[in-house]
This record gives sequence, C-alpha cells and structure tokens, in this order.
Amino acid sequence: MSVLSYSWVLPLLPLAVFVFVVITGRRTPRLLAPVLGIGSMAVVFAASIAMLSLTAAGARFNATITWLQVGGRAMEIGVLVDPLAAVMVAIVSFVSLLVQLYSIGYLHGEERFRWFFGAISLFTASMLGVVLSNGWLLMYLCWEIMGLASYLLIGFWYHKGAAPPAAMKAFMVTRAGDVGFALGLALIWLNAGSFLFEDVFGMVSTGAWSGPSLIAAALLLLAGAMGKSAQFPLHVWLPDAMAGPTPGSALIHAATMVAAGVYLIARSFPLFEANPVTLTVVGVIGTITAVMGALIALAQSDIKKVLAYSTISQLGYMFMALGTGNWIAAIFHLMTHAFFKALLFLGAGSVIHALHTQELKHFGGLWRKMPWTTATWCLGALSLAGIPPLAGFWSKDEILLSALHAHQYGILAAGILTAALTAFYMARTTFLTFFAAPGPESMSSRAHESPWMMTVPLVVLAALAVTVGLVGSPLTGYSFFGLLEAYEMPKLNLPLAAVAIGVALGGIALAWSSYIKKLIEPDGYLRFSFISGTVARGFLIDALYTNAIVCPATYIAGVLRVIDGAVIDGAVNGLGGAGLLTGKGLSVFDRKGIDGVVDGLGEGVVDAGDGVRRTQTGNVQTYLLLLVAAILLLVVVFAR
Amino acid sequence: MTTLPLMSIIVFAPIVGSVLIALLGRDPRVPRLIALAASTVCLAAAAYAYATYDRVAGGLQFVESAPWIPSLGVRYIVGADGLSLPMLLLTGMVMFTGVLASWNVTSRPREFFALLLLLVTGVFGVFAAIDAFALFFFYEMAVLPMYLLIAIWGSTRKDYSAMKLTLFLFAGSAAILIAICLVFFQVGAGTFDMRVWAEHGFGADFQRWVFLLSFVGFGALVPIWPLHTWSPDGHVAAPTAVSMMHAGVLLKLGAYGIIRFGVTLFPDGFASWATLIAVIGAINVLYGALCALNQTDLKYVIGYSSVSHMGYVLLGLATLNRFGFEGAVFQMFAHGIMTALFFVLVGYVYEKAHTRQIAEISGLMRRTPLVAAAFVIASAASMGMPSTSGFVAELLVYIGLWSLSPLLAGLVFVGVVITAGYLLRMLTRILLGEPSEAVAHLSDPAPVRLVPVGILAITIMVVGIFPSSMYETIRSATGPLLARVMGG
Repeated sequence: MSVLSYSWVLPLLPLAVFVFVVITGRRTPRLLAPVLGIGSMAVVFAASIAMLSLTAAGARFNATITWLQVGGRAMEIGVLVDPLAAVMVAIVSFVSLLVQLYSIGYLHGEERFRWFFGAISLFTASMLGVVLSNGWLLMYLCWEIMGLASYLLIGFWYHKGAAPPAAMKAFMVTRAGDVGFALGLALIWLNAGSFLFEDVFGMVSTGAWSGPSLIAAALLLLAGAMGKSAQFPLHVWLPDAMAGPTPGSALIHAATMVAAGVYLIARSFPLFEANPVTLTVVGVIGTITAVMGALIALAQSDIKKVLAYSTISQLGYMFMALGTGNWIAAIFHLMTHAFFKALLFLGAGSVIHALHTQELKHFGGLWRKMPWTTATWCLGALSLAGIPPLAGFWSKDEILLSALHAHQYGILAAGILTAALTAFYMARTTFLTFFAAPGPESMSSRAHESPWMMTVPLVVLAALAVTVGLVGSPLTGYSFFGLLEAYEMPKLNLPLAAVAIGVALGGIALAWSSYIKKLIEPDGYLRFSFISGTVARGFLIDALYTNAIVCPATYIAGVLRVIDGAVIDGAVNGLGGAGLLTGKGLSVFDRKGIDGVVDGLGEGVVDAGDGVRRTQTGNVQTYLLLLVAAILLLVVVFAR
Repeated sequence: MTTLPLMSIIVFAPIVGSVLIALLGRDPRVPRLIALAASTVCLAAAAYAYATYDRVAGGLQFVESAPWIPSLGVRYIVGADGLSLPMLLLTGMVMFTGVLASWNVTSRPREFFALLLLLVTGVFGVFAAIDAFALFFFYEMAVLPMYLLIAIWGSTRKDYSAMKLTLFLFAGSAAILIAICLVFFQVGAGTFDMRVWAEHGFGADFQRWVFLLSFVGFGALVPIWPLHTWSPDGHVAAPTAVSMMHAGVLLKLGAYGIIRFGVTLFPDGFASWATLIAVIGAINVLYGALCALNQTDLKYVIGYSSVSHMGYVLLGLATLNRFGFEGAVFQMFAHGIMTALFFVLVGYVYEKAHTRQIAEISGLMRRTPLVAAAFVIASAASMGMPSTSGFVAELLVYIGLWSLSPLLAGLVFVGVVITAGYLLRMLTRILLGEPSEAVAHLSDPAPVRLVPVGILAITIMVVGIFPSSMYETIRSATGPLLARVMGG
C-alpha cells in the first residue's frame, strides 16, 4: 500500500534513541542525546502530517501479525493508522519535540542530562505504540512500558527525598488499574477470541458478545484508564509525580500519558457504548474527578500542584465527555488541553528555573522580568479558562453541548461549575505569580527571562493554544469532527456559550478584585479550616488510603510474618523438639533400664558409637565419598 | 530420530564431571572449569533435544530403556515430552549460569562443584525419568547434596535452615515412597514403568487418596501452604548457585511430580481435589505476597515471592482447562528463569556489599546500572509485565481463571497488586536514592559475571516476546493430559 505501511517504524525511532543513550552512556557527546531525540521527533511529526492528510483522504492501514497461536485462534498484534491515530501521533510527537527543545535549556547543568532524553524517548516510543496499536494486547504492552518510563522520569532526581516515593506511588497506583486492564484482556480473549479492535467490535455490533461479561470487560478497561488518567479514586499519584523535572511533567503528566486513558476509552468506545451503564459509570467518575480536582486546585500554594490538580480536573472533563457518549469531543479536548497544559507547565518551569522555588508566595510581579513567559502563560491560562476564541473555549463548549443534548444535566451543571472554578484558580495563580505586588517573601527581584530554547517552545505552544480550537469550531465547519467520523455535531448553542463565558469571566473578575484590587481579602477562603485542612490536602484521600489500605496491608504482612515464624515454624520446631525429647527419654530409659540389665552389652554400644562418631569427621570430602560410595553400593547390590 | 542417547548424556554428564573433579581437582581453578564443561554439555544437549523435539507428534521421545534391578522390575527408562523438555532446558540454563555465578567460590571449590553437579544429576534424572523407582531415586539424590551445600557454604542460620529443608523434603519423600509402593502393588504388573501404570484403571477411592498423598508429598517441595516455611529459610541460607537451583529448579520438581505422577496417573482423583488445590493456590499467592511485603532481607523477599508465584501453578492446574494447564507449566519455566536471575543479582550485591538488608542498600542505579537494569527486568517478569515470560504465563492463567471463577480472578487481582507493592518497595529502595555506604565502592561486575545475568535476562525477554515455541512444546503435553483428566 502507501507510505502508511511503514508507520510501524515510527515508535522504533525514539526507542532506538533510548537504546543508544543507555548503551553509550557518558561516552555520548552531551548534546547528541537531545539532537537525536529531537531529530527522531521531527521525523515522526513530519510523518504524522502525511498520515493526517492521507487518512483525511480516506486512506487506512491495518496490518497484523500473529504473536501466539492458542487453541486454533491467534493472539494477534498489529498496527492501525486511521485519523484518530494520526491525530494522536501528531500531538505526541509535536509536544515531545518542543519539550525536548525546552529541556536543553532547563536541564543544562544536570549531571544525568543524557539519561533524561533517553527516558523521554522511551516514553514517547511507548506512547506512539499505544496510539498505533490495532488491538488491546500490543496496546497493553506499550502501556506498561509507558508506566516504567514514567517511573524513571519521576524518580529522575532521586537524591531529592520526595522523588523515589513519588515514583513508586505513581507506578503502584497505575499498576493497580493496569491489573484490571490485564484481567480485562483475559476476559476479552475468553469471550471474543481476539484482541483486535475490528474483530471484537464486529462481535459486539452483531450481538455475538453481550451481557455481563461485556460490561465487566469494559469496566476492567476503565480501571486501566482511570489509573493512567488519574481519575478518582486512582488520582492520588499525579500530584506527587510533580517531584519529577518540570518538562517531564509537561509531557507525561499533563499532555500525553495521562491522556492515554481517555484515548483507551475512545478507542474502545463500542465496548462502552454497548451498555449504557458503563457509560454512566464513566460519566460519574469524570464528574466527581472534574469537580474535586478544581476544588483542590483552589487551595494549593505550589504552582505545580495547582497545575497537577487542574490536570486531574480537566481529565475528568474528558471523561465527562466520554460519559455523554461523545468520544470525539473528549479527543478534541484532549488535543487542546495537551497544548495549553504543556504550555502552562513549561511556563511554570520557566519561573521555577528562574527562582528555584515553586511556592506562589515567593512570586509576584514577574511580568516585568519575564515578559515572554508572562505573555504566553496568560494565553494558556485564558485558553484553559475557556475564553473565546481560544482553543479551550471550543473544546469545553463541545463537552457542555454534548451533555445538554444527551440530557445529562448533572454533567452539564458540574461542567459549568468546574468552568467557573477553573477560571478562578487560574486567574488566582496568574495574578499571584505575574501581576500582584510582590509579597514579603517574594524572591521576584532575582528573576530573569529564560533562554531562547525555552521561550521558543512557549511561543509555539501559545500560538497553538490560541488557534488549534478553531478546527472544532463552526468557523471551519467542525472539520476536526468530520475528520474523525462523519458525526452529526451539536451546533453552537449561543445561550449555553454565553453562560460558559459568563461564569469564566465571573471567576476571573472575582480573582481580579481579590488579588489585584484587594477588595476581598486574598485567599480569605483559606481561613476555613475545612478548606485549608481538608480540601487543600486533597480531601484527605491520601490519608484514607494510608490508613485503610497501606497500614492494614503492612500490618497483615507483619502478622503473617509472625505467624510464619511463630505458629507454623513453631509447630515444626515443636514437632522436632518433641521428637528429640522422646528420643532423649528413650535413651534415658535405655541407659537406666535396659543398660542396667545388659551392662556388658552397653560397653559394646559405646564402642560402636565411637566408631560411628569417627566417621562424622565434619570433613566434607569424607561425607562426599560416603555419599557416592553409598549410591554406588546401592546400584551394585540391586543390579545383580 | 536422533541416535545420540541425549537423555543419558544430560543425566550423566554432571556425575562424570563430579568424578573428574574428585580425580583431578587438586588445582583450585580446575573444578569450576570441569563444572562449566559439564554444564555446557548438559545445556547443549537439552537445547538440542528441545529444538529437535517433534511437537506435532508429541508424546514421549528420546526414550532409552535398560534393565536396572530386574528382581524388582526396576528399569532405567528415561525420555522427554512437552512437560519435561522445558524443565530440562530450564535446569540446563540455571546450572550453566549458576556455575558462572559461582566462579569466585574460594572455600573448598572442589567439594562445592562436585556436590553441585551431583545435585544437578538428581534434578535432571527426575525430569527425565519414566520409571517411578528411578524418579524417586533421582529425587532423593537431588535433596541430599542440598543439605551439605547449604550447611557448609551457606549463611544466616545455615544449620537450622539446612536441617529444616532436609526434614521437610524427607517427610515429603516418605509420602511419595508410600504412594509409589501402593501403586506398584495395586497394578501388580511387576514394573515401575509409569507408562504401564497410566494404562491401569485405578478405582475412584484409590485415585482420590493416593493422589492426595502424592500431592502432599510433592507439594512439600512446591511448596504448598502451610508446608512452605522451609523454602524461604532455605533460599536465604543457601549460597548463590544453590539458591538459583533451589528456587529456579527444585521447586519445579514438586510441581512436576504432581503433574507427572499425580495428575497423569490419577486424573479423576486430581479432578476431585481441584477445589482444594485452587484454595491452596490462592492462599499461596496472597500469603506469599503479603509476607514478602514486610521482609527486610532481599533474599527473603524473593523467597516469599516464590511461594506466591508457585501459587499460580497450582491455580492454573486447578482450573481444569487448557489455558490454566498451559499457563501453569509456562509459569514453572518463567518463574525458574526470573528467580535464578534475582538470585544471581542478589548474590553479586551480597558478595560485594556484604549485606542483603534492604535498608542498607540504595543507589544501585548509579553505581551498577547494568545490575539495576537486570533487577528491573526480573521484577517486570515477576509482576507479569508484557514482553516478559511472566506475562505469557499469567495471561494464560488469568484466562483460565475467568472461566473457572470470577471470584478467584478477583483474589488474584489483589495478589498481583500486592506483588507490585513488594517489588516496587524493594526496587525503589535499592535502585533509587544516593548510593549508601555499603554500595559506595560497587561497580558493575566483570564480563564473566555478566554472562549469566545476560543469558537469563535475554531469555526472559525472548520467551516473552516470542513465546510460540515454548508454548507449542508445553501444549503438546498438556493437551493429552487435560484429555485424560476430562475424559475420566
């Protein structure tokens, strides 16, 4: 077929970079690692443009090889290129490219500079593998490698006390979801006899597979998606993951990997669509996550934590879209979010790079010192807040419209509430960082603008955060939706859009009057102990897990250890001891009773004992000799 | 078919090596060379047998038969099928890598390597034996040297552990011996040939109780809960190569015995106990994983993880379906390789850092990147991550479990999450962080020490990515076996 048949090469390019960096280590010229990483991304991005134009013209590519033949049925893996895959490849490679460019500046003095680019390349390879898979088996393979890459990147600064536990927690929590994915794989195979999307979707659409097992399989896949996409109640790892280097957070924990869960559900949508109950579960989880994340973000004092909880909240938004049945809206928001959230993270990184702190109270008035960072950040923040005509407005609007059209008024209300909260906390963060008068603890006087390697990606991402939403707007005839599927899109609903814009502006205005004009006491709501104590600490869900899962498990493990040592071993030792005692008793009886009678014989026994003892020399050679001799004797005697 | 007596070469090459060491081993460097030569011969023969085995025809191949003790009807019969070939290959690999990992044994190298080879002969013999008497004979031969190897070259409560191990295993073999005698007299054909025994129709009650007897007897070696406590102690006390043999291969003798003797001869008896086996398997998985969560010594973590992982073998068998059976045997191979790798790595760290305490080791990723990478691969296999052999085994067991009982699948879910917990706890502590005092002077090992690491790590990946040949081999044995179980 066409050039699409070479698309399986794409994930291998960054993988090769990873292998190269690992093997050559410090022998690699320092700048070669990023050059290779960025070069491979440039190739992939160029290919993705070709993929987009070819698939838009109707071309598809789907190729399969057999991994394992099980009982007359083949477990197959393969590559699928369709518009959805092409869009995802473009997003991933483009953000990865910019993040790596940025990282050259951000990590310039770092000792393990090359390793960072290796790990980023490993991550990108696995993410490309996820989006190019044509079945769940290969997807799961790449999915797990992605988890490993995330572990390595969060643990990058392992000398910082917070990094190793954060890396472990991230792997552990996502792994809990992934075990669900794996069990789901087994269930899919058992019921459908294939791992390929097209085969299984075919069976679902014809009704050959339905019923409780289908619901169970969808929910197990959902568990995997919830882990990676940090959905309640598996969201707890994402805020901690901020211990990793900020560019890594931008790529992995904001733009792409966390979106993999959304992609998984969008890709597996026929499985979810088949039973409304599974879609309802998705919607409920998304709603809880979106509102919860936004509320917690209100009460954060660390700029990266604000963005982390904001990411959780926005991922919840995407799950809400999936719950309303509109997976394309979810992917559309995934795309706009990837650009504006990567921008915000890199902007935050620029500030952290300048001041070496993440606390909002150490900032203030930075716009004078860091004009490029400030301008691009503001565009990203406005986009996230949903101000037209920036990208975030269009994608958020589609989700609200879907909720309205699906008559999911709970989701609609939660969406509007989240939009208001989002606008407020982003405005708060923006004002406190860039515009409010520096406070007593501010370090802003030391600030400086970042080098061009860092500001160029900011500018490029800002341009996208402004414009990319247009592809899903009436101005371009909803071309994005037409690309992914001939889909009857709910058209722009002006009253709804007005409400959304209204709450967003309201949130910004409230923050402005509080943090700039000081009409309301800044952060006054933090005086409520519920907000500063419970909400700020993530509704104490971490503490709940520690007390309800980690501690009991550790406790049970301790108890079992004691049981193993005291009870089971005790029984064994007791049995041995009892045997020993019996033996001793018998020997006493022997000596006192029988020996008294056969005293003369006793002498002989002692002599014999001495003889035997002489063989117990403790010399291994003798033991060995005896062992071999005994074996030979056995063989010879019996083999007559 | 080949004319080489492959099975006899595999079984007797180590004992020939052992004798050669006794005769020639004055120079301390000679024993290890002889041991390496013997293990190379075994590995090559096992690999050759594995490669040339006719998977389509299946059944026993490479059969050799000779009279041994005519008065009792005992014959020396060896052969291999899809069940024994993966085990022979596994033993060959673990032995080869174990000898390389023991390259620096300086205390009494002559006796060490001679005993190790003797032990391996026993193990190979069990996997190749078709005559039940020979099977028992070799089985005992594998246990005895173990005692001496642990008691002399071991560490950490070695006398206690060696004695405990020996007592448990002898108790198990007493049960096996009784079972063998019962069958011998029940069949009454004056032969120990298990092929003949398999043709005999045993009564339902006989099957039921003799299977249980052999399950407990061989199960002590698996180890089944609650007969497992010798196993972690034994792992910890043993020197590296013996830990590798012990966890990698010896535990499989138990599972192999259950399948070869128990399931094959008493299919109905086995099926009647399936629920019990499933329960014990689930306990093994959960109990072992939870115990591993709270250990401070690296070897204890791996030791209890073996208890946990062998539970999948039991669970797979208990499913009574093809996926479970295939997964169980696949897990035997996969677990053997991954544990051997773990013990090579822990052995290296212990040798250089003189500690196995998790609290005292950190920053291996910085000091010994290759060792750290191998730790990650072994852990990935242990967690059942895709592209490792552990994934194939666990996927098959999962599929089998779903069709048996969603409840069990749920329990296993918990077990797998705990598995990730204890492995990540271990990895995060020892790999990340700044290098601790104990590992400050460590660096990656010399090439000769990296060879076993490389062989085992690559095997994990290759079998995980291209599982077809291993799977087909196993299927050629589990297919007919399952037919026996379901046919009855």
